[in-house]
Amino acid sequence: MEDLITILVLLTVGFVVGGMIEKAHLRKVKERERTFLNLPAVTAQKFLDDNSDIAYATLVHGSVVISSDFFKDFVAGLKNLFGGRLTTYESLLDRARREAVLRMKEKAMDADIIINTRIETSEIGSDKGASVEVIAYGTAVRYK
Amino acid sequence: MKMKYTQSYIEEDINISKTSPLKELFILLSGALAIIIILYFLAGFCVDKIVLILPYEIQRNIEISINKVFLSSKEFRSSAEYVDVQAKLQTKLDFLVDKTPGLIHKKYVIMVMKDKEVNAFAIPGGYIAVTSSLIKEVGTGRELDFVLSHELGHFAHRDHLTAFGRRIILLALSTMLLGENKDSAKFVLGSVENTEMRFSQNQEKAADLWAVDLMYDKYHSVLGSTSFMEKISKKEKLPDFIYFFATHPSPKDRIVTINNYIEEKGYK
Repeated sequence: MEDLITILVLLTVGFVVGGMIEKAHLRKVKERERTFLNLPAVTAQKFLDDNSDIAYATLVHGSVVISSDFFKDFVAGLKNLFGGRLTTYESLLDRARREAVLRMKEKAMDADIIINTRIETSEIGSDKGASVEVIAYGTAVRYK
Repeated sequence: MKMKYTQSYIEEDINISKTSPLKELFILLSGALAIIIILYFLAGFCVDKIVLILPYEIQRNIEISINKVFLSSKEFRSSAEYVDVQAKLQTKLDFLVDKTPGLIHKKYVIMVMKDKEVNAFAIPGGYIAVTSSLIKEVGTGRELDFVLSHELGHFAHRDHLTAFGRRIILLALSTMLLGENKDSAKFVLGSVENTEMRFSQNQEKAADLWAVDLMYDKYHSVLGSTSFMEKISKKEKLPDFIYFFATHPSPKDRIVTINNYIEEKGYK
């Protein structure tokens, strides 16, 4: 019975606190994304405008590590039985990817474009719940 | 002519599903519990039937292999302080066991353990442990005979073997379906164990009634069958609902069940 109560408390804390943190993070991510609307990060490997003179081109990257909460891991654990979309992890990965891209863009404030953008994900500490590291990197280009 | 690129911002979180996580949790949990409870009760029913048809030799061997776990623990040691009481209780137990049908062990051994808790329990392999506090509470008269008879009832009904078999099945099911050391598996396991309390309470009631029969058979009287429970009931401060989650029924319920049975059988 004690185990059940402990798990119920942890689920509640995970759902409420984890949910609050997630909402606050998403809100900040959106605000920052709006400020970087004019700095596109594209996956094209070549310069899009070969006729322009380039002032500089440099590697930029941004990375983030985000941990899951108890509620998300619990639901994902049950999902393993039935299969289907791991919806509770969708928000975790979406936040991580967007945050990594934003951090990459913050390092390329003066650039006109980031080309050859790549996003990679790796798992950290899988024994005690899911934590993900996402790294976004690309080549920041500034035209003359 | 170069055009300035202006991306429009999409407010919606396209990569995040719009499903309610709580609804999802409820559906998944209900499904997992339903599957495990159905499989568990089907398998548990089979275990109960198989235990009854197992040859005595195999039953004894299984019990002996389980009891090694108990007897190797320091918690389960007789106290040297109570050697005299233990000898007296052993005589009592031998009398109760003598020619009693349904008991598979050749010898049943009493252990008196020093403990603050009022408790008695049967250990697989033919051991009955009684705490010093229980002896202080009930003395060594007929009330203690009833306690010993109740524990013998567990042996007679093979409650150890069924509980052991059910436990193995439950662990196997939860590990197979939900994985090992996962909180979701622990939660489902805990929930099924709470459902299992009803089964355990039924075992306790059955052991009580078996004890009443044995008392009447040995002493031609059921004196002491409910007085122990009455003492416990008077001391009991727990609210009734707690017993929904307990392995034993409430003392009040047990008294009613025993009294009804005594009346039905016409015992005095």
